[in-house]
Amino acid sequence: MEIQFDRVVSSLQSGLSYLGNTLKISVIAILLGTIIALIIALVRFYRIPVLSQVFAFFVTVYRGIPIMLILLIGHLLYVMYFDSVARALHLSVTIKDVDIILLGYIILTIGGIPSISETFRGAMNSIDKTQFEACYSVGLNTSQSLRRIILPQMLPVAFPGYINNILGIVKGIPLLSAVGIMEIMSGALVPCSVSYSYLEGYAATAIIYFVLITIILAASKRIEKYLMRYRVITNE
Amino acid sequence: MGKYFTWEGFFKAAPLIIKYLPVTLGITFITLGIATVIAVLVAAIRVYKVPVLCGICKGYLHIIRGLPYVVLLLLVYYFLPFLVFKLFGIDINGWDKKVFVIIAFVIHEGAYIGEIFRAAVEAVPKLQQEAAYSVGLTQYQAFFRIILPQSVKVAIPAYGANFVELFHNTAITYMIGVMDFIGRATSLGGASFNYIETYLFVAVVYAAISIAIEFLFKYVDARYQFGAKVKV
Amino acid sequence: MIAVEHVKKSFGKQSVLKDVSLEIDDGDVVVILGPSGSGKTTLLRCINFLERADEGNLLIINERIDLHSAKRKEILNVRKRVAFVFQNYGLFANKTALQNITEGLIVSRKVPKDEANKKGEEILEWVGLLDKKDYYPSQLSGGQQQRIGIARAVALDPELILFDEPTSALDPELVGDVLSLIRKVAKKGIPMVIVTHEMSFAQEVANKVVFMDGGVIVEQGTPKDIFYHPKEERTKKFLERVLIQEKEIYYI
Repeated sequence: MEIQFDRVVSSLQSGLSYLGNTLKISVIAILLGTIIALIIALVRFYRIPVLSQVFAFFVTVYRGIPIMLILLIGHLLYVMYFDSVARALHLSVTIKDVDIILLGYIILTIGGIPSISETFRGAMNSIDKTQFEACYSVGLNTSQSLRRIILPQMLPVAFPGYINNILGIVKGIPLLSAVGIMEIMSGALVPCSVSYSYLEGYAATAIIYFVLITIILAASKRIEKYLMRYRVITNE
Repeated sequence: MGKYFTWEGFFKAAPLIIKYLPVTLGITFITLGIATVIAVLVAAIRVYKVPVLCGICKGYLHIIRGLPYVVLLLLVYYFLPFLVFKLFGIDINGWDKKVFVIIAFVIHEGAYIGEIFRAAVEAVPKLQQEAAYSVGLTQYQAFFRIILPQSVKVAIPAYGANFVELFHNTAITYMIGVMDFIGRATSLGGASFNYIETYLFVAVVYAAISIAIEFLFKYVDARYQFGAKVKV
Repeated sequence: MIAVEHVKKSFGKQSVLKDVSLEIDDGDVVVILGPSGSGKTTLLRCINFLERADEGNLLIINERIDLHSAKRKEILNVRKRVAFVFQNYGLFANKTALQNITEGLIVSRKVPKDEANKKGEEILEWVGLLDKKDYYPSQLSGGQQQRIGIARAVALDPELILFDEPTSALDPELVGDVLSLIRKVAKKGIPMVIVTHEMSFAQEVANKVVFMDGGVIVEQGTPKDIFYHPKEERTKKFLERVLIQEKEIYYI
């Protein structure tokens, strides 16, 4: 057993070539997930009948299922039903035509929604009730009070938890390699099947992910500082 | 072997799979036990700013935070034998996979739970520490008798959330093929039942247990109040 | 006799104690008065090492301890002989009233549990809170908590008790009970140093009054001297402001 650094380098190169894929999946999952999660959080916060209960049920159940499992089950359903769904929608694609990365988008978005919506909901609940009364008494309607007063106050509170959620999504990406989606880890392991040594591949994976996540964390600290500054001013 | 889900298959598979739930739970609890002890030490080192060790703990946390769980697991699985061989000349490649899982999990949880306790200890008012010192307690005595018990109360919600996350992360043992709860579902799914039936069952049990753990921690949090009147 | 000699303490650039020396004889009840920022609380905290002084000595009977470079053992020794009563009561939130009192006895002074419990109950009886012995601080009022804090200090059989503004955090109606208890403690004869803003109480219970301002002792003497014949300008100005406030209450 030995580590050969040239193999580490080739794994690094191979892994990095899939950085684009990885980022694509992350960004789409985060954007879509955030939007849907925000809607769900708002619905539950304003207690819109029927929908809140439905969402509450789904969020509770989905939060109880590990992403690995959501991925495996989702993959099975995808493989079994993709063609029938496509035919039903009159689309002339079959599963072979579509890059499986589509599954990655879907699963990671779905996986991220429950936790993000909980973070948002918690932040909304922590806003002082008198803020809402102030909005109504001044004559703002719901969408105005939301946009101008509530959401800006919710952001600094939700931010740390939100970053955690985002990191959770990014950290879930290596799992996608289990169903054949190419991302950093599967990419870094490509040279390993030739050399029969997986050590270097995993080392490369760790390095790339570590750098990626550290960058995200550093950026988030700066954003947090900026948000906190904003918050102090509005409270005075 | 049809590709469609049947309830018959689901209920036939269930008792076979549930036999392996204790394995997963065992991994979870052993990890928690060891990691919590490490975490208290790490938290104490951070809070009392022990020279050298404090920096090491900070670095440790930083590295663990920067790695996906599954990458850490695979890293430990492949690297530990290499390391042990280099240092001691022993080949541990034949060891039960569960051991690697627990080691990787303990490494991860030690950092994260350590952070939970660090924040909790720092949340205890300084006055408590001063009162302890003024009555003649040493640093040790003050920490273990006065500060740590109060920090446990603060830590309960975050610890519970972490507990659930750890429990969820046991599912990633799929990636190295451990014969635990999800491993059994996989092998059964390939053998005689449908993967859909076996995985669905596993999902249901995971959800049920996760919800139960959350409720348990909410209850404990409400009770552990040192007499303060709080609505349960 | 207990004394502090030439204590100096700065927080960063801010010099809080410039050169303070104070003698406390047996049975003394010393009250320290002064505006905020004068260093009175810091002085107390330096004595039992809650703050580390930059310079100075503590003299207990015939032991001289350096307030700056004392080692852990010496500090522990001092804390076993000097008790502290906090402005915010400082009761252990995770212990009952009785346990608060016995904690120092059992853990620090290695008193056996039964003996400690007995002593704890005696003291609780003495302060009139024996029925609350199994209550947690969160279940008690501020006044009750402070009385238990004082009980805890007395139970340690200290050679000196330091009181850091014992009534400043209390609602007005609870202040009286705590002051009565402090009077009781004074009668026991243990030397006490009290930092307080309660002027009439100070006059009544102290046998030595010290006025501090800007990190130095401006004047000290008997209550009669300080309150009725203050010599220094600063003392006079301080008393004017404070006593007028106390008088004005009656005009509301």
